Amino acid sequence: MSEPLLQVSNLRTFFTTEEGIVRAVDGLSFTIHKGEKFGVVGESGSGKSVTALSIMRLIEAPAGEIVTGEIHFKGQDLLRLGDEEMRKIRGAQIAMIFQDPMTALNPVYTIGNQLVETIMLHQEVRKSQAVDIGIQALDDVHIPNPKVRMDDYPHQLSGGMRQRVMIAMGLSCNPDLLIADEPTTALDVTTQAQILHLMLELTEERDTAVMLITHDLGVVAGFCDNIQVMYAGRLAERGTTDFIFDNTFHPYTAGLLGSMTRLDEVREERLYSIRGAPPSLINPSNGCRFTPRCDFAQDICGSKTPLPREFGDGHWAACHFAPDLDLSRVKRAERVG
Amino acid sequence: MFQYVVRRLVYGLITLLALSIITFTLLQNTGGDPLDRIKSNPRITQQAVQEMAVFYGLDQPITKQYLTWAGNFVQFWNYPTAWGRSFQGPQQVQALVINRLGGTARLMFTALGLAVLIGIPLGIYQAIKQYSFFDQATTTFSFVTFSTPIFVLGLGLQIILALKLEQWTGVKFFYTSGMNSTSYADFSLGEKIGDTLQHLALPAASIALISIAGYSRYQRASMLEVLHSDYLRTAKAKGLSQRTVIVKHALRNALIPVITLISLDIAGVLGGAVITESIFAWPGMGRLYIQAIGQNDWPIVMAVVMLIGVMVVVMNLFADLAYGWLDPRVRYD
Ligand SMILES: Nc1ncnc2c1ncn2[C@@H]1O[C@H](COP(=O)(O)OP(=O)(O)OP(=O)(O)O)[C@@H](O)[C@H]1O
Ligand SMILES: [Mg+2]
Repeated sequence: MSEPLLQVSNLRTFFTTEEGIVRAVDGLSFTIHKGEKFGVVGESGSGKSVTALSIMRLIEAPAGEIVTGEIHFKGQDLLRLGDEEMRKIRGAQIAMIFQDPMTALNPVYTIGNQLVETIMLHQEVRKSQAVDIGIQALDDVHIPNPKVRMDDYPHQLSGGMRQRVMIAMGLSCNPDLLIADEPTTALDVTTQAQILHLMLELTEERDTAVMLITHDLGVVAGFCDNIQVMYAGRLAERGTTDFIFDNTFHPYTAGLLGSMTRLDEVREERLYSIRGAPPSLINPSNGCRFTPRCDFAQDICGSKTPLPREFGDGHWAACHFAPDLDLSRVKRAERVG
Repeated sequence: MFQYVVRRLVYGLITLLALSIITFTLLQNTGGDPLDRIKSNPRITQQAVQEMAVFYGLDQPITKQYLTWAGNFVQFWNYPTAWGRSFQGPQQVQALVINRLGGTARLMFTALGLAVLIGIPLGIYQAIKQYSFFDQATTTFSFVTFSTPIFVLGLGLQIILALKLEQWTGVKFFYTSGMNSTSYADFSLGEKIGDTLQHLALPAASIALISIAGYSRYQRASMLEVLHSDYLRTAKAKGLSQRTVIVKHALRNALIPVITLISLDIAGVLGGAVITESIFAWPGMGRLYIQAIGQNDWPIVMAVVMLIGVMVVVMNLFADLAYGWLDPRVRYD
């Protein structure tokens, strides 16, 4: 693997609410390398979006706060940058696209206006050049008639087309890292596949690293080099996509794999479903947060927090009993291809 | 677009026609007779009353009376006789109304202008600084003002800013009644402006304070919604400055709903402000038509109602056009 691009260490992002302090991300560390396709999976509320927004430093104060941690990007700690310096990184070196393309674009400005705005913000070009770059960017994401589309308002485009516009906008300044927070969740299945394919194609071409957030393991399978599974604001397991699918050490990952629907195999057993619901992140109990839902839990799980341990080859798992559990009962889904 | 405007204006005319018929019918059935006061005067003979009824056309069937009134009313260019005569005296309704229009417009547009110029930026700033001390202090102030009856506010301003202030300082800052001093005609231009403002300040402030409270609440809510929207997060994620995010991406969206509110308030301007006009002895439309209603002087009531109706139709259309101009999702067809 090439040099590290983004190194997050011991990130803690909390929200102050009326019910108490929500420990949305609670001691998370990971590294994304140059050009790497890095998948982040986990159930709703596991802290995926908060992690992404922390990297962008878009956590909304005063309720939200990055309490501790370092986020090194190309050698500098983003958390120590001034607002002005951070703005120069946003959109230019780290771009982000969001889940719902229907609402992510400003309804009162044209596509072209919003694209050109981004380009002129980060590149030393004249308006006319920016327009050309914008048209090219729309062409790159396979939007037909890009010149004409520049004058369209968002409501004139379908969801898939809008997400293409978001991708075009994200990639228009050639960022080193593209954070895509569930970019296909709001789209129909066919469009999902097209958008993912497009993202992969464009980012491979440019050697752009991607942090792809999703709750769908099927989506990361075809896209990512490495997968990070999060549970309740912490790391559950991380490793190469192949390894996670074939050789998971963590009961939660196994549960996710077991509950995956797959079109390419005939299943004999019923789909697995992880019992219970994710824990509250306000005053979470000691020990492993997955304990109440874990089929393999023992006494130690409820009292001692399992720290992530490395099992070689960048494979990390946070479970007291890794790698000794027999998870085949839970995890039936064998990866094909 | 042109078609749309024409169609809306046609609908508007139909609405006004309906409004005039309904108002006219209601006024005929309020149980009083415009000549009641005259009839109750023992020195006026039956004969004279009869002649008056003929003079005003009150002896004619209702339908005929309406048609005559409507026929004259639309010929507004025949100033000052077009809108008929008041039953109270020799005045022509049109002259009376136009005369009051000036006073009403001066008071109401000043108040509305202040409310918009202060209330809208205030709401926007409150939203940007949500939960700050400024937000909480001004919000509390808004609630207090908004729930104070206008006559309390008006009298309070009179007592504090006119009466007490003059007692303490010995200088007259504000007047509490009328539009100008009696010796106004002899003043120099500077004195005229000063005198006008000194009369206008307190009544305009009473109305404006309440509207500022209303507008700022509304604008704050609308701005907050926009500030939490996905497209604003996109704008920030692009690396735009706080200023651009707010001025370019938030403001326009946040103003859209407020435009309608303001347009309809402008439409209501001609109705005047009955209570404020009474407290400040302001010669405005509100007092004119309240008196007219009390005395069954329906030509005046009809004229005022129709003027307000025209404003509502026009401002509604304006609001819809402004809406379309601000929001490309709105289509006219
Ligand atoms: N602004 C906020 N105020 C309070 N709590 C918040 C805020 N934003 C996020 N949280 C909390 O942080 C936790 C993690 O949220 P996050 O949005 O990162 O989840 P996620 O993994 O992205 O889930 P999803 O798949 O639903 O997008 C949740 O419990 C959420 O309620
Ligand atoms: Mg999320």
